[in-house]
Amino acid sequence: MKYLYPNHCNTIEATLAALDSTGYIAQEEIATTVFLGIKLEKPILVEGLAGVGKTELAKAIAKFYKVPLIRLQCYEGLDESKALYDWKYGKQLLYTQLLKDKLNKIVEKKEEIDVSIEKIKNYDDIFYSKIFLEPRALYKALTYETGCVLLIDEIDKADQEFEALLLEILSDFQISIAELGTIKAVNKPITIITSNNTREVGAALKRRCLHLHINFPSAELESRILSLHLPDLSSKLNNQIVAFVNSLRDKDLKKPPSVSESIDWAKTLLLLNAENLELNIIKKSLNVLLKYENDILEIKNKLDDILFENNKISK
Amino acid sequence: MKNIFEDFFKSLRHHDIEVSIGSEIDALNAVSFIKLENKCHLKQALAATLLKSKNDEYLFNRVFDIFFTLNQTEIGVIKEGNSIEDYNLIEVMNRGDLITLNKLIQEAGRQKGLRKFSSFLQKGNYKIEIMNGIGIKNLDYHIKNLKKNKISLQDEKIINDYENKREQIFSIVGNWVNQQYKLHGEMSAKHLHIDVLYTRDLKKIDRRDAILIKELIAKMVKKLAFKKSNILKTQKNSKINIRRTIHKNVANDGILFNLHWMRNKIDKPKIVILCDVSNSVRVYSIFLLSIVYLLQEIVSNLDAYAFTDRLININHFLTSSSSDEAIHNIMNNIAKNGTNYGQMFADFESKLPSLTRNTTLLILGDARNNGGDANTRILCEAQKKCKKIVWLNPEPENFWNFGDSDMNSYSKYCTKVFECNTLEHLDNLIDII
Repeated sequence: MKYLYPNHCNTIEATLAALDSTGYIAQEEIATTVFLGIKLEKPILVEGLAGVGKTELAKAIAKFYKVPLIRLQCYEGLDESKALYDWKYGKQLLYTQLLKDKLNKIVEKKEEIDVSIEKIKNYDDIFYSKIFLEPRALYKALTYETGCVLLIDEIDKADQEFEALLLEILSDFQISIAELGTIKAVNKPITIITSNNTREVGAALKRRCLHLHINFPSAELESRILSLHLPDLSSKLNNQIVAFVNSLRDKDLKKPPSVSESIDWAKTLLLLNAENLELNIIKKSLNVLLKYENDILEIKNKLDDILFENNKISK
Repeated sequence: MKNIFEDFFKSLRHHDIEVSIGSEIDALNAVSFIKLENKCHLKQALAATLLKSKNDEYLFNRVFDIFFTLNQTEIGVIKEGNSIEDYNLIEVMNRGDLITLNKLIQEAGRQKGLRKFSSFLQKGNYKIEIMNGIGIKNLDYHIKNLKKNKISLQDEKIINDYENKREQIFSIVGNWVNQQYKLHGEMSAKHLHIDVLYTRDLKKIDRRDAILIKELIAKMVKKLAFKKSNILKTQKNSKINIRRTIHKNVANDGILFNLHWMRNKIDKPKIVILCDVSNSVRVYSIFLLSIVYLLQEIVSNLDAYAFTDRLININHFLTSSSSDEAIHNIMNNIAKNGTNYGQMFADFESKLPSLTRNTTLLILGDARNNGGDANTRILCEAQKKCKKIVWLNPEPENFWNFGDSDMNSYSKYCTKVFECNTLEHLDNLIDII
């Protein structure tokens, strides 16, 4: 089993630069974990609130290595037929109908049933061969010659059974298919598993992974992220947005604004031709930043105080 | 080098952070790829391989900071093949070599079994043992000789210098032992305290232990959360529903072109809780309600009721921002009349239709009915509809069925009846749910 990826990420600093080159501005612990994940050839379990850049991390790695990103979105009820492989039952049935005459020739009408079964037995494996196999995301990830980044997104939404199914893949990068035997990875995929922590992921799965918890970025880092995504954003407005978003994160909100939301908000403010963060404009656009009505109402009531505090700090 | 990290793993385990052998191997491999001088990278690498839950982050950081700042100005141990005896403390002091001094202290600590630190009373003893271990006696002997043979003022100065350095060593050893107590001893003392708390009657638990108890209850419920995530699964498979497929393909002359699959079924357990909040069981109710408060975040299908004589739904109280607030509101809003189980069950009769074969009915109460009607018929009806009925009685088992207790009448219809007045009992309850 190979694990062949260009040897660019040889140090933590190089990994940080590599992620940076793809437009993913990472905190140092993210770079350290990615570096170790590649060096130790282990999957990385990334946890954190929605919108902190878990999925983007996988995309950035794929972009850097110029390999395909295979994404498996998890949900309740996801099973091996949807994640790993399935048999093309329709095709199998169609072929049996089309090959009916051939089958009739193999089996002679007058012979005993057990003799007929014995004859057909020699052909039944054909119907469970690779041409009738429908590869799903996990199977595809194992069979890519060039390697790939496998993103198993929101594992916490899948069931415990599905986690068990992943164990073999994550520890040995192989899968066992009853009809075909064990399929080993041609080139081990770089595996990123994300979780929003809506439930505790099983200990067995955690043991097989490196663990990374992504927190909200520092103000400085967030400011860099905004500049990268929105080059037209003035540094003044950029700083004001970052300060405002950070002050909201300290409040007791149901869903504090994430990085992706602050990017969306900054885009909105640009569209509204805002030059400064003013009360009216915030009120108009707060629904882009906050996703719950109660949160919006609460912040609208405290808006004066928040802006006053932010201005005091900036002065 | 390996010894240092092994000690670190042990310290983590000592602080209840689970570290598997596999994670240890990963951590050792990971640190081989990074520069150990960079403590930030070292911390990140160890966290990536050893830290499996965000909840343990605070403890992990604390252990790391204590462990790697005490003495590891340079991470390492005394040269391989050398022992403490090969080092002369006087020479080390004269060189002002703090790094070697720290390594000697660590090695002496390891030899004296400092990891078995379990009480602050041992601090003094460990200080003396480590001082002896690093060869303080040689230094004392040296100072004594100098004093005996002193001739000039210069000698006096040298003696003073040695005595100051001795003080300095004593202070370094003292700090180191204190830090080690934080790493090993504090937790041992805490474990001991928890063991005692576990079996103490909840009524007798001190107020100052409230935070610790909350932590323990949260841990219990977390255990349940993991268990429930196993249960809350879909009963599914991707198999063909043969009967349905054949039936639906009759129109195709029996050729099976349209396949029909087994349907998914979602198994959603339901928990109904009836909690007596009368004065006789008030303390126990508070603990059960704090479990209920945490449970409602895990079990989507939970109905909680409190009663003294009338049954009142308390679901809306449980949405408060803290368990203390929720419990305070429940206790203040439920009328404090005499306990009447008969009336309570009569009120519960209207809830019977909502019980299913997936329902677990939990009742907390002493079954002391003030001589009223037990109204067991309702419980009998509930038994027919529920998956199980568990009765938690805070009174010691010997007291059941004495006086106005109707425990005997109710227990016939319960799947399990058990005494519940300690944390240990509550922990067992989690297993039963």
